[in-house]
Amino acid sequence: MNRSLAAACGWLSLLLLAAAASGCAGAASKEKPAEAQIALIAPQRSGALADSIRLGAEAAAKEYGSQLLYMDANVSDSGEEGQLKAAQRAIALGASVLLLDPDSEQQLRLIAAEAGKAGASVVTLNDTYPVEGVASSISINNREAGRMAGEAMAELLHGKGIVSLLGSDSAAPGYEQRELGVVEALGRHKEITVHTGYSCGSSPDGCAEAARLLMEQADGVVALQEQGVLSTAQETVKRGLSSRVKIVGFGSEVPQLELLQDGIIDILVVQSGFNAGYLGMQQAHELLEGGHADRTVTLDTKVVNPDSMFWMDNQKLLFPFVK
Amino acid sequence: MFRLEMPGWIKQKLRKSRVSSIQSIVIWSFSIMIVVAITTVAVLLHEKFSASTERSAFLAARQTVDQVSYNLEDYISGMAGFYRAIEVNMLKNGEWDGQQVDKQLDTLMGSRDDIVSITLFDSGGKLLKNRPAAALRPSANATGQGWFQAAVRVPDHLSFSLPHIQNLYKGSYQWVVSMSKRITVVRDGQPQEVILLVDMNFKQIDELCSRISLGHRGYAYIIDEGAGNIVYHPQQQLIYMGLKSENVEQALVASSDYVEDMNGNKRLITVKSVANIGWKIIGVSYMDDILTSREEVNRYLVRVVAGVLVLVVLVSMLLAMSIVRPIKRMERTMRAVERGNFDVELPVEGPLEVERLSRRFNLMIHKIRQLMKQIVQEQESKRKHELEALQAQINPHFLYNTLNSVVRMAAMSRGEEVVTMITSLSKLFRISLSKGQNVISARDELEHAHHYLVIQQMRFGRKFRFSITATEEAEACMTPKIVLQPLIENAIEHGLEYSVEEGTIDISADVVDGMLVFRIEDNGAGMDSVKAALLLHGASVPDAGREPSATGKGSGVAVRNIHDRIRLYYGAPYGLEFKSELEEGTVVWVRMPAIKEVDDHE
Repeated sequence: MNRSLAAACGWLSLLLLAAAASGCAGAASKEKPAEAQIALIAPQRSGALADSIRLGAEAAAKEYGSQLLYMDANVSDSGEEGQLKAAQRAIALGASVLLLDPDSEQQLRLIAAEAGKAGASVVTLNDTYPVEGVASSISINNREAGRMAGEAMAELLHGKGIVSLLGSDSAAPGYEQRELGVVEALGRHKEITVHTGYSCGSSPDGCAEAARLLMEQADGVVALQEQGVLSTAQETVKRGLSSRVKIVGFGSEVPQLELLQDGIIDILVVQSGFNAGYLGMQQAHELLEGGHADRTVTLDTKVVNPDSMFWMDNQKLLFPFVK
Repeated sequence: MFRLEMPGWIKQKLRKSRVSSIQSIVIWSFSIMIVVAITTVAVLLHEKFSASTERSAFLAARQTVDQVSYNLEDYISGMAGFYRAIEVNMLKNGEWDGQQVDKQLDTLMGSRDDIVSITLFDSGGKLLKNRPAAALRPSANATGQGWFQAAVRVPDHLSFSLPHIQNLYKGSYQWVVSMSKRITVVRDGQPQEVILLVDMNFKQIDELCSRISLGHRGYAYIIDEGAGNIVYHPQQQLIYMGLKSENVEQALVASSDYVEDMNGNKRLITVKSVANIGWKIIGVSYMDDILTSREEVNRYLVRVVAGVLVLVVLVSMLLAMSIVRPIKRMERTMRAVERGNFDVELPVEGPLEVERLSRRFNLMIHKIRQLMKQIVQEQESKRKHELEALQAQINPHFLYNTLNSVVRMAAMSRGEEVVTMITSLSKLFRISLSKGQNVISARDELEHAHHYLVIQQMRFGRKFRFSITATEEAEACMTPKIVLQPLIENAIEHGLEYSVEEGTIDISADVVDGMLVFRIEDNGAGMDSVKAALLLHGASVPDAGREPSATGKGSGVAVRNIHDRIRLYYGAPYGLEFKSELEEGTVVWVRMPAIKEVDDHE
């Protein structure tokens, strides 16, 4: 083979290689989203919020053409570490982004460490724990939500009375912020006295106990956590005080909504789990594409009362289409 | 200016890189031609293909949306029928109490799982009857609800509400579409206005819409044709929160498909009205999603083009080689000719043109060979003639000396000797002439030598003796004439002339191994081996012309001429051989092929 022949062959094979390479590259980029996996790790306690998060995440997964693994953390033998175990399973299945509403800071820390080892990213929903290794947090502005609740309470009491604050025993920074917000808003009204220091967790008994304690002399109760709202409302019903004690709370669980419709709960500050799931998925997709995820994404909150809860738009927020 | 220089520069570069060779011209032009052809075909095919995939994608989207719309329409009209059945069963006689009616209603409800509740109100919103029987929530404000107001507004018209949350009863909140109608019944003889509400689960409609398949990411949503409200959207929370928006206005007025650009995403919007409920289904398909087949076609075409390219390159290489190979062979052969090898021949094969060219080349080489042979022959014969002409020259010196000797002898009245000498001289000349023949018999040649020796013997006063012996066979052989005489002259002049003692010259002729061999031996002064070697490899013909033999110094040239002459006649293996030693003498062998004397010799 002489030189020109060799040169010709060289050029043509280069051309071919280039063509093949571009073809392959095209194919690879096309199939990438289907291969990469995003796992949504359920909280151990399921509820309306968790359901809407899932719906939102699934909607986004469909829109972005991503694959969504739903990891159930509510497995009988998993104990306190349900989410961690679910996260480990997800990583083993090849998930490269973990989406979760963390049950506790400790679990999130362990999960973030685990994910870091496997090269996976973590996106948290509904809370902003100060944990290293979380790529993005989707959350409402809890301070602002607290202020909204405080203002609503002040309005209900016409700026005068005693308000008890039923806090949370969880160390999650979100609840602290809410509390600060509530106190801040109520503090603007000179004739309103705020009693803080009560708190309860997610157990109905504990919350009922706390509700009984703070019920004594309060004109209004602001409860920061779903169970607290429910227990307070039930306590007022039990005591026949429901017309006198105003209740402002957070959450959009079905029992809360029923109590809201019946006027026992006066105001609920609601966040959209669907949007949290959707935006979390959006950030996860961004991470998968190699882009830069926003460190924090802030969600809007809405204030609903018994009158406005069945407004068409609020219906859509409060009652997701559960399949 | 630069532009003007470009072509020359390119040309030079091209020449340098041998792009102008036939092989590369064939490969490049063939490859480029095929690639251009394939690419053109591929592009045309691709256009055609993608246009048709686009069409079919549009059609598929339209069909899907149409299908959903028909399903929805069917579903709604089925529901309306169901509503009528309830109406008939419940309100036939204005009698809705009693187990009979309950049973009928339960049967009806049991036939469908998408009916949430059947409720009958009076015009003041008071509950008259419901199925399944359950207490109304105290907070349920029936008269304030949309479906109630719609029923009150238009009597005897079945109105469908937008999907909403049913909040009349305790228990789970469900998304329902309410069918309501104000009906006047006669109960206990009195006309009474009642409002019949049938709530159907929205799940069914939701499923109809969410099952829709418009590519991977596509979806459908429903708007209310009256006000343009979004009735249903798979992501309605996002829309409510302002995280997503739909171009409802355009969809509302559109009557056919259109493509919109939403945040850089091209989307195909397919609209279809659902007549009986006043809704409009809007199908949203992402163009890059439904047209994935276009990319598949692209990839396929790229692969095909690449494959064909490889094939084309291989074929064109083979083609080019088959054209170029005979040309290269020709070039190699020509180079051989250039180096002086004329004994080459090109095989006459390959394409017609090459075959012709090879044949012409062979003819040319053949002609060159012939011409060369002719030239060699001409040169040889020219030289032969030259040598012969030289040889034939009678040395005037010799004649003059001989005649002088004869005169001297005659003066001394040595008549006998004069006779002998003149006779020998005359015979010498006769043989020298030989009727113009160049080749004579060895016998004659030996006789010629004999006469020459006799003359010289007499001239030199019998200073030497000589003997001539020859076999019969040798005598019968042919030899170029006057081969021996210069050698003898040499022997006498260099070997014997200055010798003190009596010299001898012995000449013999014999046939050895098919060769005629003359041997001339003298016992003269002899010479050293350098001089002997110089005799054969020294000066050439032109010098011979200047230096006649028998003058002493130049006699080497004559010897050389004999050698050359024999070799010209008979070839390289023949000629002279010297063996000489100083003060001992010299032996000369003259060899040539033994060729028998022909009969017509006379």
